[in-house]
Amino acid sequence: MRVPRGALNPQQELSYSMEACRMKAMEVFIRHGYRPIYPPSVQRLDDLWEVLEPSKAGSIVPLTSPHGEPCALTFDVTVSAVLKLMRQEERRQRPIRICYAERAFRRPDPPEESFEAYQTGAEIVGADGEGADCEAIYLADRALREMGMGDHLFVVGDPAMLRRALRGLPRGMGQELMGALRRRDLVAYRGILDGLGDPPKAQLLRDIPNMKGDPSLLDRVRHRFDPRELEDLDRIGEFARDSGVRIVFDLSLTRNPDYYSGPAFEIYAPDGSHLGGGGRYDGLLRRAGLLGQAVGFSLDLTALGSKAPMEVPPPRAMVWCGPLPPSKGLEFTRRLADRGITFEVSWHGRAQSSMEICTMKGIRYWIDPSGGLAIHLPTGERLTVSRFIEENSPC
Amino acid sequence: MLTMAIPTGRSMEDAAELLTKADILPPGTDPGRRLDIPLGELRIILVKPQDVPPLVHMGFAQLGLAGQDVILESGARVAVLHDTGLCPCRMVIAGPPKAREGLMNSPNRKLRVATKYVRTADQVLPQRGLRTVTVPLHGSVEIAPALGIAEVIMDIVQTGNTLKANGLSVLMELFPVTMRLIANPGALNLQWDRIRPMLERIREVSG
Repeated sequence: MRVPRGALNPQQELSYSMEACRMKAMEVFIRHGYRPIYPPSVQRLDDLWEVLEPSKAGSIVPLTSPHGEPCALTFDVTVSAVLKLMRQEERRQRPIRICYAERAFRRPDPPEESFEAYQTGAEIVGADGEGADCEAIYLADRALREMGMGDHLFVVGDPAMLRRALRGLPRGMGQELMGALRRRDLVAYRGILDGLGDPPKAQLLRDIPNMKGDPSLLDRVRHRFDPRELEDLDRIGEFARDSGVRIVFDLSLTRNPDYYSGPAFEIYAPDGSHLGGGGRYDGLLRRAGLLGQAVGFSLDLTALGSKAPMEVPPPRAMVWCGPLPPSKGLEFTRRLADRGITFEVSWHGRAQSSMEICTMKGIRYWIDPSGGLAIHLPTGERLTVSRFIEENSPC
Repeated sequence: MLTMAIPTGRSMEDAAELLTKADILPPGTDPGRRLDIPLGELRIILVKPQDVPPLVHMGFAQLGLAGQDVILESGARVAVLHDTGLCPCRMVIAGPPKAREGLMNSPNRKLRVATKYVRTADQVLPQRGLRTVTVPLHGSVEIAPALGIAEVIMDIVQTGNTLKANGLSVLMELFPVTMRLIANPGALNLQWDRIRPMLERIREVSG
C-alpha cells in the first residue's frame, strides 16, 4: 500500500517522539489554565474568505463536504480556533485560553512536498492587559523545555511597527515593501526603495533588514524610532532577560499569513530549522467581527519530534497467554499494569515460538502466568512471577 | 560554522573570484576536483547550480550563490540578500518573427511555450497577461518552434547567438537574471553576527 506523496507518514520512532512532545505540550498548556479544543478538520470556504487575504487562496486544499458544502481542509488552526470562538463563545467568558493538537493542510511550495503538518499550540483571545505577548512566549518556551529542548531561540519582531514605519509612502509602495520582506527578498526590497524620494525615510527603511540582534539592539536603534514604537518589544526584551528565555530581535520580521498585528515571533533550533511561531493577531479577530487582543502560537510536532528523538522503549515483558482462557490471561496482565510494568501479550499457541518473537522484539523478560514463571531471555535466568514483579515494578 | 554553497559549471569562476575579492576565499584557491573546501569557520561546498537553493532552504548550507532563474524555479524559501550583478543574462520569450503577432494580440487559443523553467513560466507569464500552455523540455529548447512543439520558448539569453543561429529573436523581455547571495531564513537570525560582515564585504566588492 503506498502513502500519497506529501502526506504525513512518520515512522514508528518519530511517531513516538511526536506523541511524547504533544503530550508534554498539552500537559503544560492545561496546567496553565488553557482548555483543550478540537476544531473541525474542515472549514467552510466562505468563512475562510472572511478572515484570510485572497493571496492565500492558492495554499488551501479545497474539498466538497459530503453535504455539498464548499470547504477546505484545516488551513490554519489559529483561524480554525477563531472561527470556532466566533460561533460559540460569549463575550463575558473572555479572556479565553485554548490549546490544541491538530493537523493543518496547505499546498506545499517546492522543494517542500509535505502538505500536512501536525501542530500543537495555544491561543489567548480577548486578553485585556499587556502581558499576553510575554505569556505566549513563556508558555511556548516552557513547553519546549519540558520536551527536552533548551537551546531553541525566539526571533521576535513587530509587523505592526513595520507597517507604521511604511506609512506615508507613495501609493502601493508600502504593500510592495511588505511583500518583499515577507518573501525575504531584500534585493527587491532595496530596489523598491531606490525609487523613494525621501532620503532620511529611505535610509531608515533600507537599514531595517539589518536591525537584527540580541536585546541590546533596541537601545542601539532607539533614536531612529518614536519611543512608543518599541514599547511592546521592550517589554518582551525585559521579560526574556528576567526569565531566561533566549531571544533575538529582527525588526524586519513578518509572518505568513500576514494577519499579525503586533509582536510576532519565530522559533528556531540551533541548526536553523523552524520549530514554530506565533504572535498577536488582533487584526484577524477584527476581520472576524470580534474586538480585543489575541495572541497565539503553534509548534510543529514533526520538527520537534525529529529534534527531540526518543527511542521507543520495548515493553518490560512479554506475557504468554496462549494456553490460558483470555479472561485469565488478561486478568494477570492487570496485575502488571497496576504495578506500572509495561508488557505485551502473546497469544501464540507454542511457548518456543512466543519466546522467539519476544527475543526478536528486544523484550527481555518472557512470562508464563500458567506456570508462575518469568525468564530473563538474554541470560536464561528463571524467577518466580512474584519476584519478577517485585524487582521490576517502579511503584 | 557556516556553510556556503556555490555553483559548479560556468558561474563557478565568477563566484570564486567574488569570494576571493571579498577576502572570504584565500587567493589562489583551486578546488580542483574537491567539492568541499574547509576554511576554518567557513566551509565552501560546490554543487550543481540547481541544488544551491534547495540546500540552503533545507539548512544544509546557510549561505549560497545562485542565479535568479534557478532561485525562482526551485521555489525554495530562502532570503535573497544581495544581487552580485555577476553572470548577467535575461529571461525572455523568444520565437520566430511570425510568432510576434500571436504573442502581442492575445489569441483566443493558448500559446504553447517550450521551456525548462516550468514553475517560473506558470508564475510569471499570467502576470504579463499571457494565456499559455507550458511544454516542459530539459534542453535544446531553441529547436521547439522549428519542430512545431511550441510557438515560442522561454529561456535565459546572454548574447542571443544561439537564438539567432536557430532563427529566433527576443519577443519579450521578462526579467534580468544575475547571481544572488541567498541565506537560510533561520540561519540569517541565528548567525547574523557572522553573516553580516560577509554580506557587507560582498556588497562592497560587487557594488
